[in-house]
Amino acid sequence: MQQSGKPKPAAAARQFLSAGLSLLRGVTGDDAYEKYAAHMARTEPDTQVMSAREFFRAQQERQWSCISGCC
Amino acid sequence: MWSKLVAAVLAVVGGFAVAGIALQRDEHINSLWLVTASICIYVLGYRFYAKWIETRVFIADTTRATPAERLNNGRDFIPTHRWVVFGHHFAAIAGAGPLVGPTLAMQFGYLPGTLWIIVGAVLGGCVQDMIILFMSTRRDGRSLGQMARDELGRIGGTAAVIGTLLIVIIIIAVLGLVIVNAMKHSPWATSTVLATLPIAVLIGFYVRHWRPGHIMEGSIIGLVLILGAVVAGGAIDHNPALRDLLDWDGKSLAAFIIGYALIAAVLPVWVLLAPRGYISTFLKIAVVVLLAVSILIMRPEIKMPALTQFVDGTGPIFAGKVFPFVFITIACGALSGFHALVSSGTTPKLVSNEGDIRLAGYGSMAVESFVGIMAVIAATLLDPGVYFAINTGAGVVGASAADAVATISGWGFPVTADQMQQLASDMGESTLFARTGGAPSLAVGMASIFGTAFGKHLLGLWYHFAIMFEAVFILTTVDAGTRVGRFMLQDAMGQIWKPMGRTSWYPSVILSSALIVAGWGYFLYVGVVDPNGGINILWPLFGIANQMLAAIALTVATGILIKTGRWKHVWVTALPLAWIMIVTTTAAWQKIFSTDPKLGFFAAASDLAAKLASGQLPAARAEVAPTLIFNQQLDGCLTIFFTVLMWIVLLAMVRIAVRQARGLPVLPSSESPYVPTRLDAAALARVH
Repeated sequence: MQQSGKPKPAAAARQFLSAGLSLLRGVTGDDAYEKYAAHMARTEPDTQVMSAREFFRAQQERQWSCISGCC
Repeated sequence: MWSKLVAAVLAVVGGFAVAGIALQRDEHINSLWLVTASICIYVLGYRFYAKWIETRVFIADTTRATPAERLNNGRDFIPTHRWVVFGHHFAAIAGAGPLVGPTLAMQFGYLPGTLWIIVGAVLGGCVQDMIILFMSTRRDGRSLGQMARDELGRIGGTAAVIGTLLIVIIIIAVLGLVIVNAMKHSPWATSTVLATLPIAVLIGFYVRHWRPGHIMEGSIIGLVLILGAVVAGGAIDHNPALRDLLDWDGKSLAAFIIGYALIAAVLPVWVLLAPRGYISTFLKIAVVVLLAVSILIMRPEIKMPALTQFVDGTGPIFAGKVFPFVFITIACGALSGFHALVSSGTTPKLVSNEGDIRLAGYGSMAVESFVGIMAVIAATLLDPGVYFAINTGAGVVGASAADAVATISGWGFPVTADQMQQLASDMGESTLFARTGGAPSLAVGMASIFGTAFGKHLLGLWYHFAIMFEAVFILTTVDAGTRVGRFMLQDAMGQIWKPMGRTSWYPSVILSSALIVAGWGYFLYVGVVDPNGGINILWPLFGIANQMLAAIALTVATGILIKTGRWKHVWVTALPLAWIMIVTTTAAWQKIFSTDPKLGFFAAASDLAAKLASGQLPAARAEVAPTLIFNQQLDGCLTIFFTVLMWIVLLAMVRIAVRQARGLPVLPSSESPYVPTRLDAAALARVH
């Protein structure tokens, strides 16, 4: 347990790591479906959203058909 | 106040380090000087120059909604956290380019290349990447080709598209050649690279079928498996039967890569391309960090002189004087036109606020440039004799070890056959002579850095780790490039006959893929049969093509600055544009008109033709001579074409500038109208 009064380095470290992890998930695209689902819920709540699997397939096809990774 | 103090300290330290590098005339200089100088200058450039451009030249408006917000569809247009945009952008621009170019350019000594990498990035490359990203963000994330057409007219747009297609073909060919030369007669490297294929397929299944969308998990598993394959490659190397099976020559490897690419281009992306791309992103970040940490721990001495005698144009790795060829050889790492394609591709659709553009555009390129500096260090910590022995083709120094060491030692860079043999056996290779292309010498350098930092007995492992690392990048470029080329070709053919434009119609897919593969496959094949290693011809052609694209990008940027009336600040892009026009035109001029057969494409063709006609060539060389003669002529014609293309786009821009200055009507600006943002920057930082 944390002692009250002292700063909480463990909590700070945990927060730092979880922020880092969430950035990393953003870079890899692990959070893409969550963002998509949240976006659809916000803007078009009545539309049927794609399943995680369907979304990921469409996403992969789109992402790897553009220019990257040369220099 | 505090930040000004930090900046002042950086300026003093950086200036001191640059002066230290430039004035050092002792035997050796420590690589820490290069690291310090470059980092200080990147930070200053980012903090002041980029900030100034952002506020005074662009006039970035943080209240303006970006396309990611306005066109948010939850898929490709999506407001994203600035560090995630940075990560995406860096992963998309980074590849094998900044590792190979700087390695080759070290034939001039470490000084010219290092200065160009740092100065070229801070004033040229980073500025180009950031400005194109900014302009594309203001134009709904449009591509460079579209912006050229919208702003400069049809001619500019067409030239940009043709230039892009050709550069894709040449990039694939030259990088394919790099990896063929690294795998040639190396069962260990070949087995590792082959193992990456089933691993990629496995990870492809994993992230598609078993754990949809769990890319990070899949990538980490893939990374572990690939590291296992590097270790297993050592065992294969010790097994005589497997050794023979995987000991391939250049032609077989070229045929393999061509066949592989043809299949990979037709397969769905999830099978090979995407999973290997995930793994390569992880590897890239891990290796950059690992290399930086190891250099800091080891602080290697740089053994290459500041300048070598080869600045006069007599260099063995590629021909041509230090001006203009150091600026052509090092494109990626200093100023690379290719990045403009990425800056006007995926990234502008992610930027959530114009205030984030500096980090993604300028910041990513500064990191890429630092990767180039690390490649410089890896190449120059080798004994110069060893560096030249690895990177010079047998056609220049002689096929036997005795001839090669005698020639290279004669240049004043002592090296012995025993030393090379010992090094090759340390690295788990049969020979390191004439392993042109830059990858093997970089791998030896990286293995030395990692080996000293983490244990010398693992040198062979580190060497093949480095080769695998480059191979994974390069195969991703081969796949992705062939695909992109295919789409562009299908688009163009669709203009002539509609069905060809349908990206999922199989006859069109197969025909267009085959045409693209044939295009780069041809250059790859010629490079493989060329006794001088091929890189000496193909790399300058690639450099000219890439710098032509940079010139086109900077022309578009300059045109937009002029059209929006920012005459006062137009030098921000016009200066790097003028420089790259001078450099590229001079280099192209020399490659076309030089009468020195080492330098001029047409001179080389007629020299070889004369030798062939008079029967001076040994049988093996006479056999490939007609191919080489044709290739040199073709390369010469391509160089003419690139130069003309570049000047056409420039003239299109100058015409618009003149009309603008005279108050005549020009094409209207294609900038999207202002819409105020409704995103809460603080909330975005929390949510994403």
